[in-house]
Amino acid sequence: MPPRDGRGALIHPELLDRPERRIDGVDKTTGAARYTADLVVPRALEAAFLRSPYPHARIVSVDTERARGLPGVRAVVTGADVRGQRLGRRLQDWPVLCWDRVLFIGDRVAAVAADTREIAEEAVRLISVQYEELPPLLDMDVALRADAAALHPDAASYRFLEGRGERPAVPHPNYQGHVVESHGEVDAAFGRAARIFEHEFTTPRIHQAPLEPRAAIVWLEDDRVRVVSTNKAPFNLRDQMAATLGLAKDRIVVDNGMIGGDFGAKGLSTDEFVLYHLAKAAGRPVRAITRYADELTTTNPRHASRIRLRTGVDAEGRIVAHESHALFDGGAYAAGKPTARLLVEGGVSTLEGYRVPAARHEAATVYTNNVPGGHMRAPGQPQNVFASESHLDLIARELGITPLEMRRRNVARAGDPTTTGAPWHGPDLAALLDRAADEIRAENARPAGRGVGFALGVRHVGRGSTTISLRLERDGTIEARTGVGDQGGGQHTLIQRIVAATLAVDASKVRVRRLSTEGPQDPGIGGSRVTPVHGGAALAAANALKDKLAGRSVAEAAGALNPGEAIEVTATFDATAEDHGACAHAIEVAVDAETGTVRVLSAVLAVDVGQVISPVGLRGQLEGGFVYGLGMALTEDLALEDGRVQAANLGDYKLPTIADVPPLRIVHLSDGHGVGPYGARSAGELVNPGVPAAVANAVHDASGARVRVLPVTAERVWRELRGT
Amino acid sequence: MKLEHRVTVDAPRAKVWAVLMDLPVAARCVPGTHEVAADGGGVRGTLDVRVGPVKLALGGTVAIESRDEAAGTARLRADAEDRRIGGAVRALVDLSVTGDAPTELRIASDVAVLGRIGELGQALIARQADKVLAGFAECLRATVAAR
Amino acid sequence: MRPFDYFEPETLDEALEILAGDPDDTLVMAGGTALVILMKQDLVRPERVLGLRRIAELRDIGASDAGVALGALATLGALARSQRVRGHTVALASTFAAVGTVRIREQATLGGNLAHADPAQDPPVTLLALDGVAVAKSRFAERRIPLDGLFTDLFETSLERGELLLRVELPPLPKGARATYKKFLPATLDDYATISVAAVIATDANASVTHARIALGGAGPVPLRARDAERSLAGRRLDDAAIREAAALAAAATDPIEDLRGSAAYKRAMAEVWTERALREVA
Repeated sequence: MPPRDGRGALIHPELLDRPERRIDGVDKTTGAARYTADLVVPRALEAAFLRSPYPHARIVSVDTERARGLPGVRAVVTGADVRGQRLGRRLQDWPVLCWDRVLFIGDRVAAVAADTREIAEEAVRLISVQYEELPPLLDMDVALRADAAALHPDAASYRFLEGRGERPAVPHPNYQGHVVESHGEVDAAFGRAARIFEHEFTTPRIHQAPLEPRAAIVWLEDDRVRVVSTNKAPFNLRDQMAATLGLAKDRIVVDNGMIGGDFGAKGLSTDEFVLYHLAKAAGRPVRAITRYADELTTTNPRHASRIRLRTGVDAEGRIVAHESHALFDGGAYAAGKPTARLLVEGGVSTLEGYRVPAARHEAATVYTNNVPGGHMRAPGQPQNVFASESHLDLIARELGITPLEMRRRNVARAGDPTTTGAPWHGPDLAALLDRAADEIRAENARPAGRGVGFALGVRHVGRGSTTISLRLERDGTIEARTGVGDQGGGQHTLIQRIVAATLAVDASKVRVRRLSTEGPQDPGIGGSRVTPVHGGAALAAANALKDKLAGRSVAEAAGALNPGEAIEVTATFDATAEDHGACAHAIEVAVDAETGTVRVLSAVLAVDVGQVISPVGLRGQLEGGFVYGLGMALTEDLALEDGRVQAANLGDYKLPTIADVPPLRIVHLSDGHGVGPYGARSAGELVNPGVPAAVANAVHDASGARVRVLPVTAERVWRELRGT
Repeated sequence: MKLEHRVTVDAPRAKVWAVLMDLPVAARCVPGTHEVAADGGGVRGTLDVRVGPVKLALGGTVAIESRDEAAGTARLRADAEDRRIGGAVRALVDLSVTGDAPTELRIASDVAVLGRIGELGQALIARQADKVLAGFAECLRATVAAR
Repeated sequence: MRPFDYFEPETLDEALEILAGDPDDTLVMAGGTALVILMKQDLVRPERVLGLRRIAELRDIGASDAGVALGALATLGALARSQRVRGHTVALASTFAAVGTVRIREQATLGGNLAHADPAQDPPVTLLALDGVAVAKSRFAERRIPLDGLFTDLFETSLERGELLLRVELPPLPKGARATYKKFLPATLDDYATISVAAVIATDANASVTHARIALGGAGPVPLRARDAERSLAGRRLDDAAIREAAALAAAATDPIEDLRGSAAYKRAMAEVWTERALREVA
C-alpha cells in the first residue's frame, strides 16, 4: 500500500523508498562531529569525584584539608555542603553527594574542581574519609526479609517528580516499586488446567555500553545555569536539576553536543548536579568526562532479574492460566527509572504476544547495596522474554510438541485476550512466526549439534507530545527546529525525510536544527517514541506549511519571498494512539558438545514496523538490535563480587564484534497500518529483547542443554551437558 | 575473596604460637614488607606489591583483633592503603594452630580490595594475594624452624 | 595521563644508555598497546618512558643458523605477513594473525608482547613450542634466555634491570615437522584465549614420534610447556590412545586462573580437549 500523509492524500512514495543519506553521516565519518567532551569553554576546570569503596557504610568524617591545599585545586565540595539534595528521574532518592551513608561501591562522597583532571584526581586521593561499615544487602531475598534494615528509612520525604501524585505504596520498605496485576479467574483457571509447569530464570546486570561515556560541562552566566550534557532528554534533566537544586526551571538551560550512543544510559545524569555546586564555588565553568571504568562500574545498568513463571495448559497445550513473579535488582537507588511505578515496565507482563485468558503478574524492583539499576533498550523486556520464551519451549518439550507448534497454538490473533487482559490489535503475529520458520527452514532435518530456536517480541509504539517548527527560506531551503537530539538513532534524518517527502522537495533542502531547552518543550529520546511523536510532529508541521503554500510548490513559494522574509509554521503533536510493533526471531546455532561453544550460524527476523521511513536507519536499528541482543545472549555479564562490578573496561566486559555476527535475514511483513506518520511503527527497541531467548532455545534444540541463566556461556552449556 | 593456606611446621605448638603473636616478626614474614615498626598493640609498615609494570605501596597496620591461646586461634586484621593509585586492601586473617611438633598452621584469609586498585582485575589480585600469603606461610615455617 | 619524560633514541646503544641511567623508574615502551591503557587508567605512573619505536635495527625478520631471528620491534602484523615466518611454519604466522585486531597487530611488537608476559597472549605459546630463545642485552652484556625461562609469573619475566629484548631466535625445525596453534574463543572472536595450545610434532619413517612440543596459553600464571605430555609421546605412534594420554597429561600440567573467561576446572578440561584437537591435526 502506498504511503499516505495521514489525511488520505497520496504523497511521494519514491522519496521514502530511496535509501537516505544520514544528516550526521559525513560529520561522523570525517571526525568533524563535535560531542560534549569536544566543547571548549574558556577557563573551564576539570572535576573528579571521590567514591565509596564500600557497598554500605556510614560516613564518620570527611577531611578535605590536604586536597584544598593542593596547587591548582579551585573548589572542593562534600556531602555536608549539599546535605538533603537528592536527584532522580522520578523518585529523587540518589544523593548529589552522600553526607550520611553510602549505599553502593561508587557512591559519591566528595568532588573537586581543579585546573587539570590529573590535579583533580590527585586531590581526590588526598581526601580522607572515615567510614563505619554497615552490613550490606547484596541479595534481593535478603533485602526483602521481614527484619531487613530499610536502606532508605527517610523515603517518605523524597521528592516524586512531575506532579503525578504520590509514589505508589510498597509492601516492604526495600521495594522500589511493586505491582500485582491480574485478569480473569486465575486460580479457577489453574484448577481447570490439564498440566501446570513452573520454571525459574535469572539474568545478570548488563551495561548499555555506549561508545561515548557521559560528559557534562556546567557554568553560571548572567543568573543562568548553563549545562551542556550528553543527556538524551534535556528538558527532563532541566526539570530534575530545578527540583533538586531549588532553582526556577527557566534559570537552567540544558543543551547537547552530538550524542555518541545511548541505549538508555543517557537518560540518567548525575554529574551535572555536582558540577553546578563546583561551578558556583569556583566561579568558573567545570567539566566532567566519565572515565569508562566509572561508566561501567557506577552508573545505571540493566537490572539483574529472577523470574518465576507458572503456566497451566489444556490437553492440547493451549494456555489457560499463567502467573509470574519477577524480581529486579534495583540497587541502591531508584533514581534511574523514569516510570511512575518505579518498575522496569517491560518486565511486568510475561508471555506478551500470546493468548492468555487468565493471568496474574507480580513484579517488583528491590533496593539492595548493588550498583543502581536503570533503563536500557526496552527496559525489563529482554529479561521477561528470555523467561517467557524459554518457558514456552520447556512446556512444548514436556508436551511432546515442537516449540513452533506450541507457539502456533498460543500466539495471539486479532481480538484474543493477551496476558494483560487487553485484546490483541496489532501486527499479524502468526504470520510473522510462520514466515520466520519458513525462512530458517525449520522443518528441515539438521546434522547433530545444530538446532533452531524461536522467540516472539512485541513492543509498544511510544506516545507523547512535542513541537516542531519549519521555516521556509527564500533560497528554497527549509529549516526544521526541534528539541530532540540525535544519539545515533537517525532522529534528525527521520524529521528531514518526513518533511521532504510531504512537501515533495529533495531531502538536501531540509536542515534540522536542534534547540536547547530555551526552545519548545520536548520529551527527548526514549520509550520507542521518536518515530511516532517527532515523526508525527514533523508531518503535522509539513502539512501546516503545505496548507500555507496554498497549492504552490515549495520552490514557487520561496521564489516569491522578499529578502529577509520567510514562511514559518509551528506544529505541536500529541501521539496518543496505542499500537505495537512485532518481531518473530528464528535463530540457528551449532553447539560444540565437547566445549559447550555456541556459534550462531544464521538468523531471521520477521518484523512488522509498518511503513518504512528511513530504510538505512531502520536496517541499522534492526541489525543493531540483533547484535545488541546477541551480546546479552552470549557474552555480556556485568558481574558483581561483594557488590563490586568486576569488569572495569571493555576488554573484560565483552560485547560482540562484527566477526561474531552471523548472516542475518530481515523480512518485512506489514499492513502499513501503524499509528505513526504514514503508517510507521517504532523499531529501536523491537529486536533486542527476543534474541537471548531464541539463542537459548536454539542451544536446547541443538544439544539438549537448557541454560536458564544468561549469558549462555560455553561453560554453562558444557556443565549442563555433563550434568555438573 | 577467601583464601586458605596450610603449612606444617616441625616445631612445638607453643613456639609456633609465640612467633605468630610476635607481630613485628610475623609482619616481616610477609614478602615485600619494609619499615615494619611496632605501633600500639600492633605493627605499622609498608608492603610493596608489583604486578608487572603496576607498583603498589600499601602502607598500613596489622593488629591482633582476638586471640585464644588455649584454642590455638587468633584473628589478625590488616588495613593498608595505596595513595598513588588510590585504594585499599583489608584482610581478616584467621590463624589456627593444631597438633604439636609437627604443628599445623592454617591461615584463612578474607581479603577485600577497595577502590581503584580493584581495576587491576579480581583474578590478578586474588593471585597476588595468594602468592603473598603463601610466602607468609612459608616464611613463618622457616622462622620457627630457625628459632 | 600524567606528564613524564619521554626518550626516543634511534639506536640500541643509545637506548641501553638511557635505560641504564635509571633502570628502576624507566618504563620501556615498544608498541604501547598494553602500557598506554594502564597509563590512561592511571594504574601505571612512570617518571620516564623509553620509546623504542625508532630503533630500526630491531625490526628485522631475518635468518639465523638455518632457523629464523625475529626482531623484537617487528610488529605482529609484519610477522603475520612475513614470508620468512610463514616459511618456518605457517602455524607461527597464524599465531601472530590471531592477536587482537588489525589495529593492535600493526602497533604491537614481538618484544613488547613477550616482555608484557600476559599469560593469555598468543605468540609466546607457539614460540615456546618452537623452542624459541630470547636474546637480551644490557649495557654490559648480551645473553640468551630460552623462552621457558623468560616467563616467571603473571606479567613478570626474568629480564634484568637495564636489559632490552633484541630478538627471538628459532632453531630449524626437524625435517617434516608439523605445527599448529589452536586458540579457544568460546565467547566473542575478539578476545584473549580462554585456553590455547601449540603443538609441534615430527615423526620418523615408522610414524613414531621423534620430536614433540606442546605449549599452553591461558593455562596458568605463565605460558607453559606440557613436558610430561611431550615425553609420553616419544617413540610412539600418534594413535588415539597416545593422543588421549598426552592430552590428559597436558591438562594435568595446567594451573588455570579462574576469571571472567571461565573457572579453573573448565579451563583445565578445555586444555585437554584442545590439546587433543591440536595433536589430531598434526598426527
